[in-house]
Amino acid sequence: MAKVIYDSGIEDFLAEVSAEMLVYAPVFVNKNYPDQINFKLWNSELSLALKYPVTITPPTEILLPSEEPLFSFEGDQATPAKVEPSVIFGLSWEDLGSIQKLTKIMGKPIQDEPYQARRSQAFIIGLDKFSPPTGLDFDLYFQEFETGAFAVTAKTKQGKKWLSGKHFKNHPVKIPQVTKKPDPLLSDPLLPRAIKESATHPVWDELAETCFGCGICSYVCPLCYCFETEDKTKFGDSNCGERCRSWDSCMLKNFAATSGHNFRPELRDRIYNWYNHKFYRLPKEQGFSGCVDCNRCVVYCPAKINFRRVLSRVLADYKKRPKK
Amino acid sequence: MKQHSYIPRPAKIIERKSLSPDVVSLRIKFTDRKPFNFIPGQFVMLSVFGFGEVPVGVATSPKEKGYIEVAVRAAGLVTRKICALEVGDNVGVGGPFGNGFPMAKIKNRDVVIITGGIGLPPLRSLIRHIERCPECVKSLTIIHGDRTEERLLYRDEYPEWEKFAKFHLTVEDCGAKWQGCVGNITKLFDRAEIKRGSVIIACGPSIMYPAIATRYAGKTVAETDLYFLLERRMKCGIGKCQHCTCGELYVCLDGPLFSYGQLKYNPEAFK
Repeated sequence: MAKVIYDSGIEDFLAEVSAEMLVYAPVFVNKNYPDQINFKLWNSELSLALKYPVTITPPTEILLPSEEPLFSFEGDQATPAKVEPSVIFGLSWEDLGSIQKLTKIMGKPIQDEPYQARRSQAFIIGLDKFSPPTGLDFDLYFQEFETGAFAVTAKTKQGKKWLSGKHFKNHPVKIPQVTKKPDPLLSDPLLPRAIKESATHPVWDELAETCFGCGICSYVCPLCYCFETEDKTKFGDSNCGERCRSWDSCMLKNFAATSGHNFRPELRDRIYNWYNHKFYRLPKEQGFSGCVDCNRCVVYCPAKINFRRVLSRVLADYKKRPKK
Repeated sequence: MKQHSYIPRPAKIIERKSLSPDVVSLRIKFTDRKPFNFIPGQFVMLSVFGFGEVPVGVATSPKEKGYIEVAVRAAGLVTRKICALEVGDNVGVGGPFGNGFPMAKIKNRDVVIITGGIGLPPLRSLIRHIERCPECVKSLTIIHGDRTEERLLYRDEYPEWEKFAKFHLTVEDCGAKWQGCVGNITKLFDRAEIKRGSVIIACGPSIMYPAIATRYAGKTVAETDLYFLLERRMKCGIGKCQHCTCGELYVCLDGPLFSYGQLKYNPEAFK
């Protein structure tokens, strides 16, 4: 027998959870723009958005914030930043996948301790129309099997504790199996090699003519995680402050610049590096692609660049290459 | 809350020397009383709270206990602040990071160090290590060049180095009293006799590297015995921040020392 919750009961469930920990959930950013949804620290005054194509920034922002203190300092004493327990609610299959992948990236070969501290204190609740993803981590997963009705699965101790609570009812209904098929382009086994060997392909020069180099593709991508660090001090007192890390973008002109030399001054090389990292280096380093097919970079690119068209072209040319 | 790798260890400056008009050498002592173990060639993140941190190669031998030295050129906001620090000032030291020199491989080998300008300090770590452990190598040759005489780093140590190494020096521009070689570093390649089967380790501006590779790689020395130290922007030292990537390599994790064999097909290596 399935455990079920209806959309009318979800806010009550989250309200109960939020008494114990921070709850992040997809909410409307602005009532005048119903398609503008983002993960925010939720309270019962904010309307949940249960149906949306994709949030503006990815939920990985909660675990690797756009700006976070790594530690505070006073004189020569440093104190690590505190982390609070949290729940991230409403993650799609793609977003669940992105958190799983980012956690692996931040764990291997060397642990990024501030990230792992946040992740170890975060509970994950998925929500999508598909059946629970077997290979992905979550505490609870809500499968919308009818409009406004969700079959709920628990995977962890905390998830099971929640599921045994009053908000979830036993329901004699057979939940349909809905599986998500892997994307043939992104799962093409030749793609990593095709990208690696495309360093001199004209597509990167052509993209550099269109691309603004603004870095928005990095900021909305759940698997872009490059960062800058900067010390922020109290006004007039450089002895007291915080070392913060903030999102950076490898698309920006000075990303690889030292005070004496810029090691990647050309936009075409920075564009190639972005693709090479996601589609060649990450498969090599971690065994998976740096893309979860969430489509955010396509939606928000001001130059209307679509990575799928780029990948398709590079892959097609690779397949047509003369065999040695 | 436990400490993490982004928090540097507390340390103090115990000695400061001006090496050239814009390069300062700092001797640093850890104040947490824990040992600092490293391999010559590794780097640290040198940090001044309120200003930031920069990657810098350790310039002393691991056999020198109780302190490390680094040399910093005043170039940007953080390095200018570091160069203005005085004895007794606090700094933070993160690391050590990176792979370091292949100490097992150079044992009983003829070792040649080729450095240009600010590339000398990280190799000084190896020079001082060999000074304290002459049996570590069969022989040591140092080839060093800089733009002008007054920019030459560690000048007062050269007489000591000449006691245990063959030392070749050049400057591109000199005063009337200079009696040594004048010209860029490739001029010394004709004078220094590099034996077949040597191990070459080079550190300097990347423009110098192709000239070294063309002359020696696969001829005098094997491609796997010719090493280059790469410089990149670094923010984390643990392969996350992406600033130091060079093709498919991370300079902070896979390097900063790479064999020519690792770099020769890497389009970003010698940029």
